[in-house]
Amino acid sequence: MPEAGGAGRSNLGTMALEEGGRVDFARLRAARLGRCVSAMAEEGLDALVLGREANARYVSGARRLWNAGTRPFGPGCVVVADGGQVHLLSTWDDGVPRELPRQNLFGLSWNPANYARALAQIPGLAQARTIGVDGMSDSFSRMLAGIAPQARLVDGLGMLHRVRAAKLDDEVAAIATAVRLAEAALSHVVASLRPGMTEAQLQGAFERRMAELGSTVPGAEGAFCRTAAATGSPELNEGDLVAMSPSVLYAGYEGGLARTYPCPGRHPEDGVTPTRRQLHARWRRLWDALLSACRPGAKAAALLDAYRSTGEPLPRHPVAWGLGLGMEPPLVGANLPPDAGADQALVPGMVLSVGGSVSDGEEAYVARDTVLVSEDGPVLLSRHSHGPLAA
Amino acid sequence: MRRQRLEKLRSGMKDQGMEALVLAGTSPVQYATGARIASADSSHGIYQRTVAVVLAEDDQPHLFCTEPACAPAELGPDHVHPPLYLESPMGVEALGRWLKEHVSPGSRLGVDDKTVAMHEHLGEWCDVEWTEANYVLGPAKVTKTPDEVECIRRAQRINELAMYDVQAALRPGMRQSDLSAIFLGRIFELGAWGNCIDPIWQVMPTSKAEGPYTTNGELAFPLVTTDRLLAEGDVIWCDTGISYAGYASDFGRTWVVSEDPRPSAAQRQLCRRWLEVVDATLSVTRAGASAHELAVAATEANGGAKPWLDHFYLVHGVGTDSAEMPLIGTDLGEDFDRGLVLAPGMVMVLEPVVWEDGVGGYRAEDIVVVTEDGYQMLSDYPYSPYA
Repeated sequence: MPEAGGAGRSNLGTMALEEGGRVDFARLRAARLGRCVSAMAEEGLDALVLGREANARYVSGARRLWNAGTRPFGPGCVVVADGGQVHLLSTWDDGVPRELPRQNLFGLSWNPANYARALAQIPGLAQARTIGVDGMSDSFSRMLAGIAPQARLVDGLGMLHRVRAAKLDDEVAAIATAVRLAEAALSHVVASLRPGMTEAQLQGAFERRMAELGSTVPGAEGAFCRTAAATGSPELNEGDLVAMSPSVLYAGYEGGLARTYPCPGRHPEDGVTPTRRQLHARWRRLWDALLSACRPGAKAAALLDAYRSTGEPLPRHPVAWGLGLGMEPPLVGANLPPDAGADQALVPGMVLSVGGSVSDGEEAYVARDTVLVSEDGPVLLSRHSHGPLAA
Repeated sequence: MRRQRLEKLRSGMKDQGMEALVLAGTSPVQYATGARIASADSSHGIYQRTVAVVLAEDDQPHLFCTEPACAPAELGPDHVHPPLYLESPMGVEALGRWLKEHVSPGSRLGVDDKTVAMHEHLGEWCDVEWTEANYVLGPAKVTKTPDEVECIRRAQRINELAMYDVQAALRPGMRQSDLSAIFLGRIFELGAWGNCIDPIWQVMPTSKAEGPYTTNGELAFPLVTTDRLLAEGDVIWCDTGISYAGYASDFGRTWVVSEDPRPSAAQRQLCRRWLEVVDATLSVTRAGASAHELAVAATEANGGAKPWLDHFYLVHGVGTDSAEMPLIGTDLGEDFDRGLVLAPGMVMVLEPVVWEDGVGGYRAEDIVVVTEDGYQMLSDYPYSPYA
């Protein structure tokens, strides 16, 4: 497997500044919006009305306040094909890229009538005949029928997923930076693992370090847990096998990984047993199979076939999912329908979180990595050590 | 608490003639089931949804989730199902087939959030009439049971204890993100279920003109935290929120960045005015009062000027959502406020803002629960270094 991807796909890490291993955000924003506007032209969309934060961020580049969890659909960003203008729900211009003019901002409102009035003032929206949306509600479709009476509302998500799937070099650099932050904060947690700590404290230690490193938002919490069945005690015991699957957002881009370490006792070798080394070795075989399935042109379902070929039972959790501005398709796993991603072809530039779990019936070894799909084969974006069990 | 919430929902469904509620959003699912859903970016919530279906004739909700351990202990195995993927036709088919088996044709169902795939494909599998789940969720959620109030109190306590540590550490030369680091590390040690909002430590200008452009000419708040350095004398408005047992906290205070924070007489006057506004608002707070009465009392105490941000409110509710009904003073307008009558068990976050251009502002948030004859304070944090 190549350590560094060819054809401008640098995998030299965040410190390789001479090779341009940093993100040019202005270039990134222009390229993303350009992709979106050309896709709109191909699909015959006059406008896009977006409620999902990742989609709004993709087209606007705006930094808006992060809240956990999902919200019901509401129009937070509008792209008008004619002229390629982006209109954004934001009462202020702080965090809004300078190329987005002030008159394209509309303010926060609690009143649907005021909301509708703000949307109605967006030039070009009233005349739109085909509007792509990324969510729906009865009240919204009524509102839009009033604003753009001729418009037909169509699914805009498929197009956005396609546009977002293959990452630009700047996006890969942003994801790689998020991975570096997650790895650095994970190293801190590994160094502070000791008996008596709780899973919640591990999450706290991770987020504290993550914020000290400059990012204040994880991809998902609940990332630290013992792999054996609950012992009844909230505290870690010497030798407990702890699965850690942290992730970090950097400029909205997510990077993460998973590793499993034993909670050390007095000696560094505590908890490193032949059975556990065996578990890691099984995971390594699984990993080799999974990685070989990360090839452009292959169906994402090949990841499931690869998993099954090792004889390991498929886990409840997805085996792979797309990474970009957070989690995205393709999603592949035992509990997911084929059209969530398995029947989708992998393309160069896709970034996937790939991994799995092997169990001996009592405890498990869990690990995953962030992988860039490239013409030259899979490129590992996460490279954190697997610790004493791999030694 | 979970039993009482479900009873409220089922009785609301009966009143509304709904045979089932289909819930896909984080907060409604937590409310209906008590499922423990880890805090995560909205993208995780979308592609790894925890879904709930409440059937009017079933005394337990159905939960569809990747991790069965997130279900509360009393949910039987026949009520915990593999996850539903609501982003694709085949995923929606699985929901449609399940509904077809469990609800009668032509029945009325409430839904909180429809994905495009649900909108386009659910009709192929079940012939039902869809309406807003909010007709049931809204009235159920707006008043809290004593157990819910206790959860909010605990969430707020965890939040406040973490903020003591942050305030004690606050010094010039720290970055905003350093404050987040202390906060995020501490809340988990104190038992929070998760963090709900990227913690805010906004450095405030002394005049509106110095701040960012806004569409309404109002102060820009809240702005997103970065690794900006904090300097001696900076006035920061803090706004943080965590979850405990699915309930949100809401913390707001104004701090001064200094080795020895001593707000000026003019700055302290702003805080005094803020306390007067809160006192005036609380003096008319009781079951039966209209939201408009509170807004009038607050405005009078501020010399006739509306003491809250134009794009927000004087009051918002808090529960399984960090901002929910009752909202008071929004652009829903005066008539809306006149029609909104306080009831015992409503939990209100008072967040007035007192501003004097040239001096700056004071903003804080306090949480109360409405009682028959008044209110009970749930927040318990000093206004230092101002008062």
